[in-house]
Amino acid sequence: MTQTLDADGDLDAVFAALGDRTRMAIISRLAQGEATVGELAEPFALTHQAVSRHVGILRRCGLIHQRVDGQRRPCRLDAERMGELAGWIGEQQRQWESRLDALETHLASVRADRQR
Amino acid sequence: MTGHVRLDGDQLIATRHLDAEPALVWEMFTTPAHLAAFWGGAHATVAPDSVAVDLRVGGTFSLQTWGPDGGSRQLSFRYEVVDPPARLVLAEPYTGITTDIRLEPTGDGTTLVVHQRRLPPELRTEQARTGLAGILDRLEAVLTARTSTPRKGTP
Repeated sequence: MTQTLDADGDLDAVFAALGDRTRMAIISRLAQGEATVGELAEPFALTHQAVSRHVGILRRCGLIHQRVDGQRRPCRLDAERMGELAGWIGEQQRQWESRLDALETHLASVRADRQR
Repeated sequence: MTGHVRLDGDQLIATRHLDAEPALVWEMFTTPAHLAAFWGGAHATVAPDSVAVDLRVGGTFSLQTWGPDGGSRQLSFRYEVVDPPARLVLAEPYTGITTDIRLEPTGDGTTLVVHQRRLPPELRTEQARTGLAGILDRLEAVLTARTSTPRKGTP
């Protein structure tokens, strides 16, 4: 992975974009493959325009792409961007694992000292 | 030693069984000299005199870490919950990360459970959490599928 979701602005935008049930559902749907705005709108009681707006938010924070295919504008999930999100979470987990390893080592030496 | 990390909704959770009673583990997490000994893990060192602990709700916990490349980072947290020897909640104002550390007595030791949250308020609903967990599960499947087929494969 060459780039990371660093900085708070980036990550905040992604989390804010995901902080909506409709957008979550759109991401879920796209995880199964490309879909147009019309196809994405089907399961929701929403207008085409409302879904377009959600798609725009997801596109601006890089979670999805929209390509031109004749009259169609299919949306596609950016697996790399989603991977960055998962990568950030993984980094937090690795840091805590490493910290808890160090805690275990330190605890053992504290206990040895106190038993002396 | 047992330990694992899992992702549960919006929360990052680390659990670890420690061979020490909760009072001793609490001391590790609230005493500057002990914090300096382990907080940096394998990736950073912490100067003992850089650790400041004002152990009360609203008080500050701060320290300076040094990475292997010589770069240093100043970290500062605010105590949100101080409940000895059972629970400590730290908020990092700069990043918005909240870390919830729970100590549960188990057998002759302690089970430590760490939750992390870094979410805007609108995402702090049960539905959103469940949704995100599901998405991250599916994401794993998508990523696996992508690596086994050519990327950018649209002719």
